Amino acid sequence: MTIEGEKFVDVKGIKTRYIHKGSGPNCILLHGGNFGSTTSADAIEDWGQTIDDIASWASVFAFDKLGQGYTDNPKVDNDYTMDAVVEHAYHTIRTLGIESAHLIGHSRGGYLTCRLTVEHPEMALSCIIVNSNTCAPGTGTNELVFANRPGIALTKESQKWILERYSYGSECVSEEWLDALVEIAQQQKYAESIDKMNNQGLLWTKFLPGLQTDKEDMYQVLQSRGIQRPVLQVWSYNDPTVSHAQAFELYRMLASKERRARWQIFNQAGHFSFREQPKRFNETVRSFINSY
Amino acid sequence: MDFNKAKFVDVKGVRTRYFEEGEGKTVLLLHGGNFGSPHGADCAADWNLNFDGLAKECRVIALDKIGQGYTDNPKTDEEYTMSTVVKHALKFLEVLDLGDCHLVGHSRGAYLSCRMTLEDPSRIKANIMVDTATLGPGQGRNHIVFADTPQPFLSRESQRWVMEKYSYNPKCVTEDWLDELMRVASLPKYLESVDKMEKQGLSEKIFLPNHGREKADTFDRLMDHGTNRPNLLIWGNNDPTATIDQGFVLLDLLRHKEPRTEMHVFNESGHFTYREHPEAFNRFLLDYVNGL
Repeated sequence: MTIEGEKFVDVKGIKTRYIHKGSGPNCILLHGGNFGSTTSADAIEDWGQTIDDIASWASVFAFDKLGQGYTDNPKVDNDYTMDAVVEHAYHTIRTLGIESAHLIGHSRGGYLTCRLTVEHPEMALSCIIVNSNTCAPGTGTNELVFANRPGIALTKESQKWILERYSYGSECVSEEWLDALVEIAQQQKYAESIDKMNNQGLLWTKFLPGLQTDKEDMYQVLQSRGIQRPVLQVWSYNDPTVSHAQAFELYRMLASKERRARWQIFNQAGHFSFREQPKRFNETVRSFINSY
Repeated sequence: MDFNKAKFVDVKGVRTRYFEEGEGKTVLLLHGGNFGSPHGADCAADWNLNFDGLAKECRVIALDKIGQGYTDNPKTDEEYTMSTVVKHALKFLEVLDLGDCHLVGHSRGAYLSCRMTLEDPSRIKANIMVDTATLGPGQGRNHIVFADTPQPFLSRESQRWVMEKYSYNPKCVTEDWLDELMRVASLPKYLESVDKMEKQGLSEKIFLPNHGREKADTFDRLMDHGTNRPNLLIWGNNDPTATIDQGFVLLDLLRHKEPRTEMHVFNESGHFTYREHPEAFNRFLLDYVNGL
């Protein structure tokens, strides 16, 4: 399966899938999840209608992060880290010839936007963090929410169950989205990344410890120098994996040194707030971007 | 906002001042405070940093609530209540034959907009509330924050002190605003209302007991049937009187029966969020209104 208008670009030896639509201010969408995840095979397709909605007023880029979707896996074990994901994203944006853009990241991609903004402020026009317990202090409740998952991992039924658990309603989990994620999960390279992360244990020995250290480091910057860019946190009431307390704590840190820190709270939306409140999500992002 | 362009209308025998500019969707601004307040002579001028910007894209109306600004005082002692304020504002909609109003209420004015929506939503399209301890569950912190208000009350320096205490950035307390607050505070009818509320004790005998009962009834209605109109709550992260935690609890009440409920937080903002971030506030408000 392909997504309409998808293209590939070589980013330092990593074949990377991306799409580009619309014209206006540059916006880059960064999806969630990570390579070798056994819950869902997140990719560009997570954004669904959001891409067209934002492309109606902006120049939108979305790409598959390192090791996800149809982008190559990390080349060496040491790159099974968020740090490598950040590096790859930085170079993808540079390779696409984008000097600066509004960065919009969901879930693990929310951490990515924040990290990119902190490390490369010249690249970020603004930073939009959507439903992200990876970016927020503490850990998410994913293990509890997804405990006792039925059936075989990454099958259509299984991913459907996962995505519905993430959501307030079930309408946002479309057949089209599920079919795309299932096909992604069936690739040989996906199986390899699962083997690396889970059977060989890189999730525990590399990925999570590295992420923890990087988060602490990022919080230091947020609270000392500040993010120095307009920053919007989008959070929704019915996200079972990000608590209000976590979102509030993240907002406090973002706001500690940045006047243009804003926080939008949606109702009747789960983890994929942009899929459950598409109209208001688009309006809010556009309004925020047009304010600064 | 040109204070010389005031309009007056007779609302059931109450001469009522309002300002009106622009074309398009109707946005009705409802200021905070109450008649006879010894701290600040709030009136339509509270919106003076927002009014002209809003008028470029919508029909904006700002009225002086009963007993405030240049609007007549209540006729009898028994009418020194929030219930009277609600009745007067609902009547104002009728007299001007306004429909599809987007109410934007601040502080006590947010209680007003919510209460109007609950009592008679027929002319109301949306209920937008900004920084309100009057509507928020529990009490505001005003008695602590303003315990040491310099005397003489309602002098320019006293009102300036009050408004600066409310604010994160004292620069939002502008001279032209203070000029108008001083003009209002010097009106004989304003001094009369101060005498009624403070010296004759109507505040404690009539106003607050009525409000206590009505507020409880408001919560019952929110839990029972909700507003039947979209609710938007806007809050300043640093409001010293209506704390953001109060906002979160209010959000929970509002969304109990009305799914179309959301919240937006601005940073480095005290009680007058729309004065601290006039451009970003207007942009967000207009985009919300235009999307409905």
